[in-house]
Amino acid sequence: MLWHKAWVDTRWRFLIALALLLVPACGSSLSFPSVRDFLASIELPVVADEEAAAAFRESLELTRTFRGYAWSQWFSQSFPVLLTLFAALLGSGSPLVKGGSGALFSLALPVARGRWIGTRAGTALAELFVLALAPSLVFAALAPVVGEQFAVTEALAYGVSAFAGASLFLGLAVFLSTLFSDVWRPLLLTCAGALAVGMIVPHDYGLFQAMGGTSYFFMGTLAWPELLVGAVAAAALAYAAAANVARRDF
Amino acid sequence: MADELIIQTVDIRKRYGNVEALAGVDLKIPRGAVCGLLGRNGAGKTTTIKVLLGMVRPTSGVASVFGLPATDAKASLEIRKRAAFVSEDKDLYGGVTVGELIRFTAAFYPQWRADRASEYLAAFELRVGATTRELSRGMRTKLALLLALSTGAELLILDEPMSGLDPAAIEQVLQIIVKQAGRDGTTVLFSSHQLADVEQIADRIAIVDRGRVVVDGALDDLRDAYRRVQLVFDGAAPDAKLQSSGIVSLRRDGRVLSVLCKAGEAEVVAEARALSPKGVDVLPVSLKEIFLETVGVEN
Repeated sequence: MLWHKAWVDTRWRFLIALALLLVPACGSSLSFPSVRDFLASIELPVVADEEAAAAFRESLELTRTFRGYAWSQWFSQSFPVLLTLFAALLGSGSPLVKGGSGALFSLALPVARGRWIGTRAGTALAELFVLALAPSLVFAALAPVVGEQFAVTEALAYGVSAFAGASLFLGLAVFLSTLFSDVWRPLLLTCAGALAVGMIVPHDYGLFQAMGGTSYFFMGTLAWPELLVGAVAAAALAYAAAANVARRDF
Repeated sequence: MADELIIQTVDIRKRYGNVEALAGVDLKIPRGAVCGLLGRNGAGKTTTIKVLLGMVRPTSGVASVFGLPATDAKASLEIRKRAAFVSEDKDLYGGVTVGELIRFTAAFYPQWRADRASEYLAAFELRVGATTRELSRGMRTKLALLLALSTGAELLILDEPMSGLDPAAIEQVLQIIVKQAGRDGTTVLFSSHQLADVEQIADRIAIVDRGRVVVDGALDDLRDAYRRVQLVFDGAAPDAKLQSSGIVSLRRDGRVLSVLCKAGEAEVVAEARALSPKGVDVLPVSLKEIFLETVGVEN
């Protein structure tokens, strides 16, 4: 019943997030032939900056294949950012918010406080897993439609990478939701935290690189250390959230 | 068994910063009692209730329910399996139907009484398909009561259960509480500002004032113990200081000197006669008078 309640509480956020991820994922997959043809038809502009020109050429080169196109246009760019945003959204709002809807009713039920938080976090984590995998698998499913191939294992690798990284922000939102009595402050603070991680950590390293599956695309291996740190930090934050709720007065 | 204490608190204190919400609450409620918890706003009624249900941790003191420590997380789970609660603001989940909320709540209580739920659904005229957002405050109160009464709990803790109800609904709820206590032997602790309602169904009273229980006992015992000795003089009542034990309060109003005493009214009458009053009356005291005098409010 607790799982059902957690699902009822978060289902609209989840379904809207799923739609917002699936639509662009489908659009990107199906528009590959036209993008490829368009880029093949244009002439390379003359750029004085050799470094910028090299980057542009590399970008064009990537979009020649479906694999490169999918990674450069989706998995390494908008996907980690969107998934981070949705992780913050799913994690925000505790079922035991002081003065919130039904908090005292929940607390009077014979259910441990930690179980309330754990169930809510677990449900959000499961939803985040679906949000991470579903759009990734769309690329594998739609590749044959545009006459291309995209391995399911590669789609899963990108999905799992993004999921492991985004779970850190989910954990942060769950923790912050035990400190604030509204949805907006945990959401905004988690987004600010994500922005800080993105800005502080050097571009070629860090969580967002790992979430984008850069090492998998170039070397065929997942960025285990970063992803592991993200997952462990997420678990620690969820534990801290449960501990915080356990000691609070309502 | 009849004297078994379902609720016992000893010197419960709770501080929020510089504010002392509870300043040593001592409360004893035996099994099967219907106990009215009275007090002004902010007196500490809700905080006391929350301590019993493990929602608030006391700064010090001991609180036990069913003989289990209310401050222990595991024991609190066991307490909440056997006790049902209706909060003051009747906050229920929004956007779910009455039927869904009943099914949700039933899942947590193995001793859930589906027959009672059906009975109260009909009595309260609640539609199972109505969402909680569609319900008026009064109907939400009834739904909260239905959920609490159907849990099969041994102890009902109701925080202002009559708030938001019209007089007819209040009467209906009072009758249902009495019926529940009578047929199942359920112990009931309910807070209220409506002294008449408390007087109608409670057999025990606890008055909380400034974080302390200032009166606690069986209602009949309290009625027997308290008396008002009214002295009428020819002229203005004298500015006398009576020394008898048991005097709770003394008030002069023109020619009348009114003394509220707890036990020993004979001693007060004897002392008062020395003042040569024109007349002396010993009158029974209502719960309202006891309440107003003990919490220090001028009647």
